[in-house]
Amino acid sequence: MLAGALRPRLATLVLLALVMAVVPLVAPSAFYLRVAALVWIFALAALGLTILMGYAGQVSLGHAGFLGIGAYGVAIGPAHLGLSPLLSLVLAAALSGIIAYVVGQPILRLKGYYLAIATLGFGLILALIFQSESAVTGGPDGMAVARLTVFGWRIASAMQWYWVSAGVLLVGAWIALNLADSPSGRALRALHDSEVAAAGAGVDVAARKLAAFVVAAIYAAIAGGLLACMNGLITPDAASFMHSVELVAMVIIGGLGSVLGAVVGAAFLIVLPQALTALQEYEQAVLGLLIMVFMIALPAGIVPTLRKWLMERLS
Amino acid sequence: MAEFLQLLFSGLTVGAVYALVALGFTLIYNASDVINFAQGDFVMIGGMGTVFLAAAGLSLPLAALIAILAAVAVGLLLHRLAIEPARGASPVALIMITIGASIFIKGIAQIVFDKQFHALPAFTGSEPIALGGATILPQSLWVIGGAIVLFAALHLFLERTLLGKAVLATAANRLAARLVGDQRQGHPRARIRRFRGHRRDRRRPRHADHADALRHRHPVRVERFCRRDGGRHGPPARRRGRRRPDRPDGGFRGGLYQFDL
Repeated sequence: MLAGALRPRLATLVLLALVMAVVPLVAPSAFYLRVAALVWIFALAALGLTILMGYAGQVSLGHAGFLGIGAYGVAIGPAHLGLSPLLSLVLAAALSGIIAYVVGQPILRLKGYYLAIATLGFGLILALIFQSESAVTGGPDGMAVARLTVFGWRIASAMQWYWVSAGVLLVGAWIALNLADSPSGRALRALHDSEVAAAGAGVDVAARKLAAFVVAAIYAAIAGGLLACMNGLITPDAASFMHSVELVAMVIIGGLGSVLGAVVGAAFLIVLPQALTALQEYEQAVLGLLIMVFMIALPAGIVPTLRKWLMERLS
Repeated sequence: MAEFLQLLFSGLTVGAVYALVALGFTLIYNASDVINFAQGDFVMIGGMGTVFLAAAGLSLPLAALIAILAAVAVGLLLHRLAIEPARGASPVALIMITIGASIFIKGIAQIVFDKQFHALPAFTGSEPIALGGATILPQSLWVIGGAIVLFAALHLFLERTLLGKAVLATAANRLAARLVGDQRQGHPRARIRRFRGHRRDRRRPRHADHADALRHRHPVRVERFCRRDGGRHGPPARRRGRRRPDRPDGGFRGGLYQFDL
């Protein structure tokens, strides 16, 4: 019985680990490893968002703001406060969680489109703060970020960043998968389906929504910190509305509420522009067209549609 | 005082433009339940289209008109090709479709137009007019006046024309509007009057809400609902005697009890 409960989770993790192990073997150059590391990092942020949007059913169109908090935290800590990058990462994630806790309480009372616009506004506020506080954040030009050193080991090359981001994503995926099957996860899915019914069943709806929001913010902050450390540079448009939209697109195109979906969606939206640079001018038009086509043709997302198709084939 | 007036004038000018954009936004949301993230791109099509057509040699009003028609065409295509196939999707999915459409339109516009800044000449000169210590450009007067004319025209369209009322009806309740639209009998004005709640039969008991009506069990009304709207049989071919006004509103009246129309 326990094995039965563990099997889907284990299968997902094993599949993910397999893919992560295979990619360095087939990657022709370090550039591909960097793109893959980018995919893992954004998959981590998308994972947090899928917990909020897929499990709990809320919308967040300002999630890149939390990404920016993590990124700027990692940048400001060593530069202005003299902390080590790793400690800054932890503190930035904690700060992001605290800000999500404080902001989430009034915002999460809204529903549907109102929540979407409220989170959009919050994301814009954060982006504006990052842009205008030039003394602290370096303004529109951004600021340089010190390289991450974990216990004296400097992480700089593409291969090292690949394994670091893959490892963090694996841990994040494991946590998300455990959450899905835990009582908390079931409470979240209950309030997704019907808040009234969940409240009637004894779920503290407001607290659960807030918890999902905070978890999503922490995931995004860690992803943002890793992004900043990997790139060595952070600019305010890491927290821009377009990035928030990209995160939401990753979650929805990959599949709402699915861990693999978050990874597939992140891969889709990061690898695709790289592949589309061959089209030069038409890149943006084709990207928009593909987003539209995928949303119309596969409204449930890539991974759930594939899963359903596989189930139908195998049964 | 002069500063306040100056800010007031510029605020009114920019606000009039945003109000027009927001009006389109609200119309789309009310009719289709979609938050249209591509609304700004329609603004862009109108502006850039006018610039390029005027540069190609057309007069400014004609260029503006063609650009407006182009934006209308793009909006129709967006609805027909992107929103309608995804009918019934979750709100977030619809938002994503409009965001994808916005990216697509921006990408196409960069190819069709270009990526530079452009400006159009003012309609009637650019000599500022002094007004109460502040100055206002003639173009601002055009903007505010044009916006007021458009608001009035939209109000007339929605309140005085059949198509406009159909838009309002769809916004209020899509199913009920479709029920009224299915009726083959009745002068259109009478149909709208009935939808608006004028009751023909004052003897029928009014009920507080739909549940109340069901509680009192009006099988006749239910039967009429089933008969009138189940199939597309329409009225009987031949009528004896004078043509009696039918009660096609029974069906939707049952459904509309819950609404305050």
